[in-house]
Amino acid sequence: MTQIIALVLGALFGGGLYLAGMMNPSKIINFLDIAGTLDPSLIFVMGGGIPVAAIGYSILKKREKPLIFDGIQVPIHDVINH
Amino acid sequence: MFGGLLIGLSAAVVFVFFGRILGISGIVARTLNFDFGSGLWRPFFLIGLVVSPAVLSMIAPSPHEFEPMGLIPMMIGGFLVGYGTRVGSGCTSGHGICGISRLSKRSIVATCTFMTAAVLTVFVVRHLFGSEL
Repeated sequence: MTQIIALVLGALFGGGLYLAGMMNPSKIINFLDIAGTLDPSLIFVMGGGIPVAAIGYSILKKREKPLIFDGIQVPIHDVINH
Repeated sequence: MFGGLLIGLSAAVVFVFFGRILGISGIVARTLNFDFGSGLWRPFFLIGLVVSPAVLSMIAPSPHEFEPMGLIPMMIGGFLVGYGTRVGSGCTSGHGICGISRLSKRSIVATCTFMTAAVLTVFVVRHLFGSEL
């Protein structure tokens, strides 16, 4: 069951990348080219993804335990190194 | 935007169901190291990740054009991204989506760092060296 859920989630993520045009190297480069062909559309990919992921994280914090695995494995140290 | 929502939904469900960070670079690294500590969800995630765009491109052509790049630049780029994400403990999904959504300070710093480095690289290559890339 875990594997099937993971497969579906991978497909969802891949579909998102595909629909956002993030499989196209020149689209990524145009997004980064602020002094030239700036294509800001990719900022909405992050802008759409972060709030939805944040909702998921707040549900996880409230539940204190994931639905499938026993414990939460999210980095707790927030030290900036390297 | 819709693509971003799908990516966010995938990350959100991984949080709620698995209690893990959905970081592609970490998932790839663990899979290549045969590190299956918490079951086989990571390799199965990767199978879905690769197969779904392939299937989608057959049934629904991408709304975006695809201009392929040379194999050698792609391999060099892939190597640098792979190495960099190991040094930086994460990539666009792990730091950019999951980390920022958790308001992790080091993820915000990491995301600003790699985005700035990428913008500078494109600026140098395109505008200082005049490459058509």
